Amino acid sequence: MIDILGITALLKLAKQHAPQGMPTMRVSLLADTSSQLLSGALKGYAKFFGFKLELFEGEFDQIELMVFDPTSTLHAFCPETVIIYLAGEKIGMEFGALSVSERGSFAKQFSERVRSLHETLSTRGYQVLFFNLADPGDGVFGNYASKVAWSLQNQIRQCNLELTRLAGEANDFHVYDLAALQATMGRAALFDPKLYYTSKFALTPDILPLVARDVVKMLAARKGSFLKCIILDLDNTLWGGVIGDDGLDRIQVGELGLGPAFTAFQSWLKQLRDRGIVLAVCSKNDEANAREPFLKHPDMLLHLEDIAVFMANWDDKATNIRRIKNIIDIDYGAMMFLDDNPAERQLVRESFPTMIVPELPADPSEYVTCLIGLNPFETASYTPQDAHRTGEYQVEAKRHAEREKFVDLTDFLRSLEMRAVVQSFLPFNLPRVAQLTQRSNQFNLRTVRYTEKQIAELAGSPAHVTMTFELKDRFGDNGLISVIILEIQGDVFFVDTWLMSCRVLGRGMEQFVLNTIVRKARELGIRRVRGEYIPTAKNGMVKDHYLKLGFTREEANRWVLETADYVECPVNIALDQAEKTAGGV
Amino acid sequence: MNDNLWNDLTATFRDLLDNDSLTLTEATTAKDVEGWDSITHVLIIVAVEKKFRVKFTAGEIQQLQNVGELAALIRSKQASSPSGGG
Repeated sequence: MIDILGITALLKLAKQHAPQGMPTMRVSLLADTSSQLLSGALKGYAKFFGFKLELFEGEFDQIELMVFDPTSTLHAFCPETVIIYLAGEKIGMEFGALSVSERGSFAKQFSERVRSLHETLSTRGYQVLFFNLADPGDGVFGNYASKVAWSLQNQIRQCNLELTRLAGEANDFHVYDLAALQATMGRAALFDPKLYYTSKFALTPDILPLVARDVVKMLAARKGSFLKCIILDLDNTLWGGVIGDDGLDRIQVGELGLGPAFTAFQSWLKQLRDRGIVLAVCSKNDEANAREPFLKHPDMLLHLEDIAVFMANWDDKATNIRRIKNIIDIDYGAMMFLDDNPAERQLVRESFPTMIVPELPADPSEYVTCLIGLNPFETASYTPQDAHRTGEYQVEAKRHAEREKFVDLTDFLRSLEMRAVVQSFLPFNLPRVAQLTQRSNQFNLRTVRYTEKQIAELAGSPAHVTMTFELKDRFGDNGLISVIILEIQGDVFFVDTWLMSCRVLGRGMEQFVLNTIVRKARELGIRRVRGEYIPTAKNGMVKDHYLKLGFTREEANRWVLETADYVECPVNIALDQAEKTAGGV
Repeated sequence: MNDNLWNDLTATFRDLLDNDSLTLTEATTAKDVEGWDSITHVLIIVAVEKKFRVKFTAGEIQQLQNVGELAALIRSKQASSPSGGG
């Protein structure tokens, strides 16, 4: 399913007309070598992933000119992202032209060059996606090069470290790791000297699909398109053998048989879980048998606390996956399903066409290599709170179980003892707020994506009122689950952003938020609240959001509420008094 | 062998240029074929090298005048390394 496309197919796809309503990406590509094939490959893969790529290709080798001239066609195009690709070969030639005494400061000068480019582009609000350097190699010192500070090898590595440093410092600077691709695929796969010397193509046509796939995934992640969850089979996927038949002593994990391969696979999955990817189990087994290795096998690296939802029964997997989605409410398209059984994979593929279902190799030794090769886990953000995601979903599973005990929804909601903390955008919640605007696809009225920098600007803007909502109950803390951005237009609040985590649907949070908005409106003498619904492929659930809240329709997707007419909605959520000390709203 | 090579070459060109009715003659040059620009030229070279398992030198590529010469070049490389070259 995620087989890499050939370059010819990719270029054909690039030329195809994009269907109406396909979301767009607006990107500029600046390179110091021929970039037409790379452009075509990027456009092709963008279309493959469901995006129309509007691409401006800079003039050949005119990077500084395009960036520093405010009247250049680059700035007239006004991209969202500027991709800069400097070819290692060209850098190598520049290096070689320096005197020996100058070569030692090559990386430092490279760093200054990059920072200067970044600063100008960042000031204009563009994201910068920088290819790091694929070492052309010169063999001048052989392996002695490590001992010579000014060798090409050392300087290129320093250059790449400088890029890493900048990526860590600046929110809007991102590095595409071409050097890693060269390490995996080998230099010969990336570079054909005759193509370079005759036509100035520094990347072979055959490597371009891999490059394009991963660059587009980086761009798509910023548009909210990325994997959030892995659903795992157990037998012959997480361990060798069948627990129901082989028993605890004979399943292969640890040192027994193919155990090392499965242990390595579990280790990798654990890294992903620690980073905020949610793991769920979907296994055809008696539940007690399925849980036994997690509880009792000394060599299991994954434990029950690493699994957000554990479904082990004899129902079909499609039904179980629907149950899982009910609890963790992640788009099927943001889920990956891993199962050693091709028939199960096919069933799941057919039931959920947007889910990522890779063909696992027959040999478990190759699971990790194969999956890493697909590069499934690009992301646009990471906050330390991501590691808590699994715990939050486990608590959610408990709430679901509790719900079963109540007949009346209101009684259930009251039993939760919900409290909400309301604050405005503050320095400590900026990353999480930005992340939510980037991740949230379903309960999102206008799907406006914001960077941290933009969120910071909104926080300080006198023309805006910003709100964050945290929801806690007696089971635990859901964290920050709703973001509101209101634009003051005269005596009207325009709702620029209203998004909410799907986890807290049906709790009355929407009503609580509206109560808060109207309360604030009255405080400021605002007479009207205006909302807009911008339809996307994923937010159909909020089509009638404003209608349900009692707004009046003004035009097709615009709604209005008179604050004078509004009667507060009774909700089972109490305002947590902590907001008074945190600066409030 | 001659016919197979010509058929395979035509198939390669047709796929790359997205033109199922394309016919090639020995005298065909880039000017004669719609879509055969400098970019496509690079893709043709790479595709031909892969398909026929030969490797051209930069000089050989630069000196090719028409499809006939390309076919002759492939034939001569295949003859000199029967195991498939590359």
